Amino acid sequence: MRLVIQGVCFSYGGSDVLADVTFEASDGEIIGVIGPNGSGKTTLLKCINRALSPRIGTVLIDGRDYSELTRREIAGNIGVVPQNSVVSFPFTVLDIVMMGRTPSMERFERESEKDLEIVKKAMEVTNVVELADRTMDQISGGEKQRVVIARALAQKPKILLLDEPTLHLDVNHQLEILDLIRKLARSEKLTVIIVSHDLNLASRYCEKLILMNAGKIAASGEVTEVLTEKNIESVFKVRAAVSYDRHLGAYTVTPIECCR
Amino acid sequence: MEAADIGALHTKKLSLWFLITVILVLLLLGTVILALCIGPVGISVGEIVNILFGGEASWSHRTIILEIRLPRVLLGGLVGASLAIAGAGMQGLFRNPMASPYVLGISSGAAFGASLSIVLGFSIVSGLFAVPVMAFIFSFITLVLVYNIAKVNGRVPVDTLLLAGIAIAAFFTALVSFMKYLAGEQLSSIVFWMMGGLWDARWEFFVFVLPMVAIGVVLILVFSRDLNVLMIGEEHAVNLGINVPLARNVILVASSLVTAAAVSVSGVIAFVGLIVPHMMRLFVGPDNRILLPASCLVGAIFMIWTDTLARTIIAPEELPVGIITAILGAPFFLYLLKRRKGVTGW
Repeated sequence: MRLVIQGVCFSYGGSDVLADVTFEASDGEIIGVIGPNGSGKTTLLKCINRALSPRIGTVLIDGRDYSELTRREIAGNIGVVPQNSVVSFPFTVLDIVMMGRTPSMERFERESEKDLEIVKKAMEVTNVVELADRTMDQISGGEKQRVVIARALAQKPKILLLDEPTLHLDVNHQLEILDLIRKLARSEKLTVIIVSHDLNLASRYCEKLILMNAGKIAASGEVTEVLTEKNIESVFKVRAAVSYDRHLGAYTVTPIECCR
Repeated sequence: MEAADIGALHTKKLSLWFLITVILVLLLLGTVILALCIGPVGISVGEIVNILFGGEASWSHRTIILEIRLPRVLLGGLVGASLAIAGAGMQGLFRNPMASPYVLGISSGAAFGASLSIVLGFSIVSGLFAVPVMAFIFSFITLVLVYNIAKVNGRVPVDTLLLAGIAIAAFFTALVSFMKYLAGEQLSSIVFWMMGGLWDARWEFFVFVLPMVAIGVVLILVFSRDLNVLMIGEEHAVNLGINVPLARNVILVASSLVTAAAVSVSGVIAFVGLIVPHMMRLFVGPDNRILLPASCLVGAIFMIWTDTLARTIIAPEELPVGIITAILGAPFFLYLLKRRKGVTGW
């Protein structure tokens, strides 16, 4: 599914938090959104699924302006894994994943066989089937993240948005989650947009990067074009060494010191 | 667990829900029948069934049951059901275990309305409905006030709503204190009204309350799935295509409606709306599609039994039922709370 973001501006009342953001994404592509705190990354994600409405600009899903779509139709196209996925109620894992079917169900409809099939498949690919009857307070952080991804997949989305999916996870689970996302992007032909603070993981897993600064796109394109020492210095105010790691087959960023 | 078991797990959950509902409905029916038997004049179950279904029964027993006990038991059931479902709704909506049907200050507003009528004799209707109608109107004035105060740029953040509710409640409570100060001989009437009781129960009140409770309960149940997702978090609800302002307003207004209806005829009965939902959450889990109906049924059962105790324990006098609900309910709830193991959150 082709996602086009065109000239999107957004403000919370005062000055623009997003100013004229334009980019495109297509099937199976993983796009990383990076940038300092407060640069508008999360706001951008929220504008993409219309949790926030852009002040100006359009978002097109396969050529259709999404302002013509209802909340439910958007939820049927875009799955979201939000940053704060803490669930304080003892819902079971199955309950949570089943909630992903909400947008496609009528108010009085019960879950059908088809819904169950979709939920089952979402739980299989994210490897949470054996957790099905556990409650959310009985599983680990990495497992919770997989459950929330399973719920997003149960929406049968064509676009998957993830806000810091590896935050609070140990290295092992960071890689596990990102490997899963890469696998899903390919097998389900999902368009994936990930917001991340981890430049190294973004460089390894994303095909394209968007570097945000103060609500604007400072640089975008291939990893090598975006993750340059010069860009990092001007946006993050940090002197960094960027080098190619041949074991990884990816560029790594080593921050050295803050610029005065 | 295997993938094939997911379907079985789902089916098991649905059959459990069905079973719980059937058991609670039967318990409620049993409760109604037994509560009708109990009173200064003992009347047998057989005779009750005869009276209800048009069989042989003495004239005096028939009058006691149909004119005194039946309206009281049914009204008690409605009040208990209303407070419990409204409490469950408010707790889910505010994502706060301390929330009760009175969290928005509805009971304080109602108390002020009632005291206006009791002390100053001021009411828009006279006679039987003078107090209930004033209590009901002031409940809704409170809701409208709190909602509009909490509104910022067209949005109503739940935390602000909670705080506005506390402030408005304090304000009305102070006005009620002032009315008490002025009350003179009427003081005991206000005090008793605020303790909550069903001693004025009669068919007219039942008929007044029933449609409001029916509409409110149905609306809350219709939005139970939305409430599940709202409990996870507003952001999640938006992402799952829920119309958040609509769902929230419906649950808020419907919960307030049933609370206002209950309070208008029974005063401020403590505890039921806070504790019954928690008790049920321990038994049936957090899913509102079973929690709400289960709370509703158990609220009715709990209220009927405590009221039966209230009217018999020191007969021929009676206690305000609000005293019994807390004296019995609190230790039982604490027992449940201590007994559960390994479950965090609420």
